[in-house]
Amino acid sequence: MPRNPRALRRALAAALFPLALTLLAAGCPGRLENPDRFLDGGGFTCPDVVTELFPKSCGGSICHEGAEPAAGLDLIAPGVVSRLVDKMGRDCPGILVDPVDPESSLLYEKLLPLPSCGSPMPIGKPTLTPDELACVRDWISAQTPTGGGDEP
Amino acid sequence: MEVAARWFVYSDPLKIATNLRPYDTVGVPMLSLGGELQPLRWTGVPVLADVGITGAYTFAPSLTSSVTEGRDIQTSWDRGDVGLRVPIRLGRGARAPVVAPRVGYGWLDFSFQETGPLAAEIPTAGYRLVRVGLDGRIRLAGPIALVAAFEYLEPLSGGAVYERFRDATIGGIDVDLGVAFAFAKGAELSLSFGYTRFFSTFVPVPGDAYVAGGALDQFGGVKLGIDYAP
Repeated sequence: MPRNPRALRRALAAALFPLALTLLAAGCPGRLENPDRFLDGGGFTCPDVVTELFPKSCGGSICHEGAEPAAGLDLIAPGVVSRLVDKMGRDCPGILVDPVDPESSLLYEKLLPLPSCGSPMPIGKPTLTPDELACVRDWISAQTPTGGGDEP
Repeated sequence: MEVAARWFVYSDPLKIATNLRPYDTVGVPMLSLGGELQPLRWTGVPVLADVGITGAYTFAPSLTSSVTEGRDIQTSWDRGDVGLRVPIRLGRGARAPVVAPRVGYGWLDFSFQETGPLAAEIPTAGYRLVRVGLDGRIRLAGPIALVAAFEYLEPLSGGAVYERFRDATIGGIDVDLGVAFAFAKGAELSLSFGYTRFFSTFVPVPGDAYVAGGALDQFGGVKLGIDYAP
């Protein structure tokens, strides 16, 4: 053991520093704000599909965002509606957003647990809740048909 | 070898929720093997010569979990890490304290062989981590030394339990404290306590299937080991 008390104190301080840091850094889990809103009657408001839902559930560099979005489908950059409504999917057959038949739209179908083509979306992010799915369906339904697809 | 425990609880789980099961297990025997290479030893350059590449793997050879209904579920638990540490001697002589900054990559998997509906309720975790921290050693008396380590854990992913929640963010810390007893040249017997804590925050919205404020996933263990440096 070091005989110099000051050296000993320094040595102990060096050893205990990590422990002190631990106490300072030990994090606590998050808290649930306003739990009553999750109970029946708490109400649910649809998020804005283009500006809230797409960025949260579909965005990301390896997802539907950026220069080379998955399936060639950019759901983040401006002009989302014009890239979706009455346009055909690239990797899966079907109209991406069909206001006439929202539930047959490829965008909606891919959000279901068992889509007819490929993997269910979103990958690596929480599955959309029934309420959110309904929001997407309603949003599709609210779009204005362009009257034509990609084909000339 | 190690006798370990895990405690998993949700923070502020929705009181009417039936899909948020806490979990705990204690007294789990685990086996561990680790090592350190000092590839620059030949240089003889102070500090550089002591730079070490470390690795360790720990697993529970036999673990089952049970649910309230009494059914047993085969459970697997293992963890490992690889890293780099740079020991720095704080003084002269063999008795001087040593502090070693370290950085590395680690993983911790805790999974259940369950494919039924219960699988969506139990806390299967698969942490992938960047680890940054310090370890240190002080000679106390004679052949006995105090050893301690602290690491901040930055999970890159947390596994199934976190994917159920919206916008989960996870942090973690790892602490070890113990004593080492040098009983022969190059050989030590060590006894230490380790504690790992993952804390997370979720941002659920009304309508989500899983609703909680966050979760606390804690691992602890008493470790008894033999270190040998030829």
